[in-house]
Amino acid sequence: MTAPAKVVVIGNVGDPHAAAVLDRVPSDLRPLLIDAEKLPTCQYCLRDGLLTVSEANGREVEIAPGNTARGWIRRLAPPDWQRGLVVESHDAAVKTAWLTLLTSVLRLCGVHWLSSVDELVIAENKLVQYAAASRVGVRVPPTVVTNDHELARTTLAGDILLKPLGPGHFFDGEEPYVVFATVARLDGPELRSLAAAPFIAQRRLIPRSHLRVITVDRDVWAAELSAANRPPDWRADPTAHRSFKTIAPPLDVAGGALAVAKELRLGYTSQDWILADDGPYLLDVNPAGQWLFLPPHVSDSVTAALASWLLTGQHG
Amino acid sequence: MLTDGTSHSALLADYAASVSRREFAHSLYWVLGQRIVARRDDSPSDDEPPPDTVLTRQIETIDNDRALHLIPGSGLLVP
Repeated sequence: MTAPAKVVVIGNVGDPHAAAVLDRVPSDLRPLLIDAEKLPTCQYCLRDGLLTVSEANGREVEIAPGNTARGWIRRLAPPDWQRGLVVESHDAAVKTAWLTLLTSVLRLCGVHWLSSVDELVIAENKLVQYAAASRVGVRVPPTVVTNDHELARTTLAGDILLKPLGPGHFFDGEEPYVVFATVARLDGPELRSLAAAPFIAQRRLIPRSHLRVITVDRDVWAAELSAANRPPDWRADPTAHRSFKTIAPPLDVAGGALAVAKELRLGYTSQDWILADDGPYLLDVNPAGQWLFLPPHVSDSVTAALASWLLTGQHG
Repeated sequence: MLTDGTSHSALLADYAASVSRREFAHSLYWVLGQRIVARRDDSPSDDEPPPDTVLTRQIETIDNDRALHLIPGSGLLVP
């Protein structure tokens, strides 16, 4: 018998973030975990906003307007789901069709999303994030996007940090490359290479520490990483991933993080900030970013808050 | 037309002429991209992740922060 799902998570069973949240959702609420990879393994029917899904284990659930389901979008598809696809190939057409179906479900079936897919898409753009931060009075480093390196130098007047405007990683054949935020050498090739692909150029600020700030609805948590002996992009240092310490977020950071999340219409954010000598700056908003690498006090609280929102629309 | 009488098209032509083709040969992706290689450690301690998980972790650090994987060129921007 088909029963309404009260909780919908868009993600993959292999993703520990999705699994951690679903572990806290009682099975009698018939949580539905689905993404573009799993959908083809199910029997489904979408008609007039009603989606029925028969999973491989025989369980049947439905989501539809009026069912008052709550949902959280972690990922539309696993990270490697699109790898190696050729533009306009048959395989690309097939996978785009699955994504089209999934996003139709996200938009049509009446689920109350913590962050909607369209707001996620908009908020993934760093320049949109900076504009939102500016509107709510949150400082970001002076930033310019230009293919003229002299203009970048004169506009930013100081050391320049370069970071991708587009994806932060790519593959050359089977070889993975990661592009970390990097200080441009005035006599190096970095600034002369601005012409081939747009990158973000920012005035380099010297952080005392890095913060990862998590917001869920109206609540906020933070963890701090000392910037001493770290590269400008802490992700380039493998030891940094396990070195964050729980802190009570400074009031201006907590208020700013919540204001940015609200301005971007995001119910969940994972934000990167720095604390400099003259105060905090927002660097980056990850609309569905990770939190499980943070200390247990933060990670457990965030997991619990997400599950609580899905169950009740509230948390804490 | 700019206030000094220079046209935008003239400025753009000057700019295009001043940029050598060499500057278009390599994007910053190639200049800044770091190939991720699994660290080989024959004797990992309790504090060390086992070999290959360093590779996994660094890729996941990037991947885990991206919900949508909007990879230009894949043709799979969210419809």
